[in-house]
Amino acid sequence: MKGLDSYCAYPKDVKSLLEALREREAETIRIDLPANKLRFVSLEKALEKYKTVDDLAKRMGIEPMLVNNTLDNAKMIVVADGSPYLIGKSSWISVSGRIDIYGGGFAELEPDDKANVINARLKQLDNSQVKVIIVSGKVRAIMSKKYSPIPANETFEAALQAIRNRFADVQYMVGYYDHEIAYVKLLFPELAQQLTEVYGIPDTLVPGMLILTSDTGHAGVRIAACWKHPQGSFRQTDSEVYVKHENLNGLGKVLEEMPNLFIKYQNAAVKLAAMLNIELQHPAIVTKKVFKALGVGDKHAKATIELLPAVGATAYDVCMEIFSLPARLNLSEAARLELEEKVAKAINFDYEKIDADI
Amino acid sequence: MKTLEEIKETPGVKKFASYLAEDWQTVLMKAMDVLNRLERDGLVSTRHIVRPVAKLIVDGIAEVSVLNRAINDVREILDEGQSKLVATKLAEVIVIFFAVKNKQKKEGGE
Repeated sequence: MKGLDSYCAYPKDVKSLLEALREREAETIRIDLPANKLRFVSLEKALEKYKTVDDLAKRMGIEPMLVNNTLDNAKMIVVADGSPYLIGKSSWISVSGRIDIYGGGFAELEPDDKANVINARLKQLDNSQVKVIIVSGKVRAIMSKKYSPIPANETFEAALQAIRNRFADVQYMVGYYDHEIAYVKLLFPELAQQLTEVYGIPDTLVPGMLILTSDTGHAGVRIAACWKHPQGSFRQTDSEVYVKHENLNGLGKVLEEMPNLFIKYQNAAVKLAAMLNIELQHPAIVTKKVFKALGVGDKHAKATIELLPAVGATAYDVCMEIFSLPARLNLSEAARLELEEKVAKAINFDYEKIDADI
Repeated sequence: MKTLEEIKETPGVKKFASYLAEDWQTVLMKAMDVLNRLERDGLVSTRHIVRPVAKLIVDGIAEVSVLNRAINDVREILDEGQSKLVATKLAEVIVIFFAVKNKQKKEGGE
């Protein structure tokens, strides 16, 4: 049963995975409210009032099995703005892990005392906004409002579309989801020969990608280039996109960075040619922003800006000067290679948009 | 006149090579780089040549009429009498344009 804390599933294909995640999203409620409007109550105490599990379940509009499942795990209810919800195991681990009492004895407390300790902490938070995420009848996360998790189905749909557009032949390897995370492993068998040649690795390896996310606070969005080895292991490379669920434009950032996965498999000429026709209004600021996004020091941005033409600089000028940075510095071989890898990503920025947004 | 394959091996072209790019796109990018540099350095104005040829690379179609116009435009600049450095660079560009054009004509069955 979906609402049980231990629920997990391995859908048989991409379509089933997406359908399951869409259904899950339909069963999701997100409530934003001040922390002091949350009140924890032990399940034991609630049952004193409602006498039976069935009566309590009826009051909450859920299956009695979910109440029993909570009695086995978190043993806790949270009342959010007057409505009671069962606490799921995953959110309980996260909430209780944040409660630190002298001697580390929180776990030893009776459920009623645990509820009192948490309620006292929530009272201290006063009007600070929190987000409560309820999935399939139980609270799966209580998080600070600064988090804006992207629903898992949206992440998967957008990322899968981007992958299909670029790699065409996409084979489902395995998919998984539970109340904490969801992931899918994909393979590109038709591109194995080409990609192994590009990367100079044995042609027995099959390229693929991992998409992993959590919309209940357990992980950000992680999309990684991987290789499936002949022995069956699916190993991630250093090349990955990781975006925390803090940014309202999180998915936009993910999609912008995805072309950096298997970066050697691209048409650089087309991208550079397009940049030749993008005349920048603010080349210096654009350069600074790109350097920042690449994680390369500001002093290098300043030195690069000095190399740009005084008037009429194009995105191509900015990109090529960024590419030339490793050659301009006196670096060890290892440091040069590392910097080359970083600056190679300059080809995948939307310079026109960065310039327009200034 | 050099062929596309010969130009591909010349210095400075490799940095534009990538797995999914056609040879003509890679080689034309080298010509674009030369023209862009001449403009940047304030030596001659080349934007009117760069714009349409860059678009060919983006569109993935080496249109002969656009290449012919680009060749004429480069010749016009040369006719204005340039320094040795500029003339050498522009000659390099014309060689590339012809190589791409000839390849295209050959593949088009002309």
